Amino acid sequence: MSGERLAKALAHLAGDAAARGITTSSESACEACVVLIGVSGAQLTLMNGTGRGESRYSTNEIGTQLENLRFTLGEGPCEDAVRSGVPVLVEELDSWENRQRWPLFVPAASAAGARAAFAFPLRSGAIRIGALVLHRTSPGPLTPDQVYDAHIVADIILSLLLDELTRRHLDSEVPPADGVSLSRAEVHQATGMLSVQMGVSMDEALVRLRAHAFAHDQSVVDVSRDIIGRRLRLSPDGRSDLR
Amino acid sequence: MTMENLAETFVELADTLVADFDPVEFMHLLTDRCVTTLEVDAAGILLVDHHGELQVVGASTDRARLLELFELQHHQGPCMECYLTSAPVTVASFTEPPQRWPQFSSVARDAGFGALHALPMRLREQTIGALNLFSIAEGALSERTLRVAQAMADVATIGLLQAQVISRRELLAVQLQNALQSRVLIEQAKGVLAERLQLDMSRAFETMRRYSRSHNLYLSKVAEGVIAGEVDLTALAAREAADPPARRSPS
Repeated sequence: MSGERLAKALAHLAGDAAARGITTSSESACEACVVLIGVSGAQLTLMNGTGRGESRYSTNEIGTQLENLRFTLGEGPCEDAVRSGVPVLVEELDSWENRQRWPLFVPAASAAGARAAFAFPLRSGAIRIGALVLHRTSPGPLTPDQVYDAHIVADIILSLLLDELTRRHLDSEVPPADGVSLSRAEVHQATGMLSVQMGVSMDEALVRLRAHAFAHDQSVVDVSRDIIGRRLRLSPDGRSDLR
Repeated sequence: MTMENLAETFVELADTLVADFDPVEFMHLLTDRCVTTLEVDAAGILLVDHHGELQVVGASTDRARLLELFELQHHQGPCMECYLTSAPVTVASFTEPPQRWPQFSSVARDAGFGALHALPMRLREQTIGALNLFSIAEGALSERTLRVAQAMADVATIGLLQAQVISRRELLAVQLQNALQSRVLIEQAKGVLAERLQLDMSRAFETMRRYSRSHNLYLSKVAEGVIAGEVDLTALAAREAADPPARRSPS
């Protein structure tokens, strides 16, 4: 296992989008990960303002039904993953244990044709914006390699979604996701500081941080260091205050 | 290092291997115990994430953490070497030439350290990270101390894997991911606290850690509370500013 895995996943997602004549997006990545990871289908659930979550994309009819069940019943692997922030891997949905855990969801999901479901939160610390949910029409676990790939794809989709949100604050195009800036301690610290400075949520703070970096043609890590060093403050209306 | 002290340490580590296991908490306990048991001055733990990148998961002081971060940024140094080769690496002196990693040595010297031992965290053929022991004095640790240190690294590795058996048979990949997510949460909370109380990052971390100990709460829970605005550390930080706690290690 190495950085090659990330490179391989990024190449697969970009190649798949190019073959379909579109640019890489959270939806195209969701579509492409089905083959990359080796499952029957996938869906993206995003949290919206009401906290109930909404369907963003689904690669097949089963995915759509699983998401509808989650929304109406308020239970299931995806609901648990979003609530707890940790992955929920269910290799055999229709077991005694799982019927106790999700008494309404399991029979309905089985009737829809899903036999296994694997939900990965789209998460960076306190930032939780939804989940990537994979399903299979036959039971069985994911291999450790498949779990690594699913984590990588979930991280890439989180980056893509943040890019899509960042664009709303910019006139210019956002550079493609590198997937690296999300794993740096300075970026997390600066995001925490910004959330207090601007009086916004952690998600919004990270989006504003990235927007500022892109608009000023700086790296996200460099802007983070300026914030931590108290050389830069961002005000609630998005103006910067250089010291 | 007394026999009694040693036994106590292992009992304490084993005690944490229960259902309500928190990997980050465990890593912090382990680094603290390395300092008290092995007579080193600081300790840190690096774990590999699902991108194949090493991440700092636990450290007995922010100073050790900074060094490890520095090493990660430059993708070279003793801890990285230890992880890549799955073998212990000793730097008995950061001053005596030749220095194999001159940049790292110079930063380590500036931080007040004289020597470093890095031990692999290994499970069968898989290496999941490294345990790093920093000393202020130059010189290598004794064979005996190193054997105990390796035992502690092994306990840490088993602890992480044991947790997956106890908690719903999660895969190592999931377990590591959760540890790293707790770490992200703590970094974000440090930022919130640094801005809210106008502290530097080290002080923000120490304040959270002190609160977590005195209230018997996991650090990641305290971090969540700080971010949600449910934990108020103003009074604690003010007390500490007036009467800073004594430190075990260089600062």
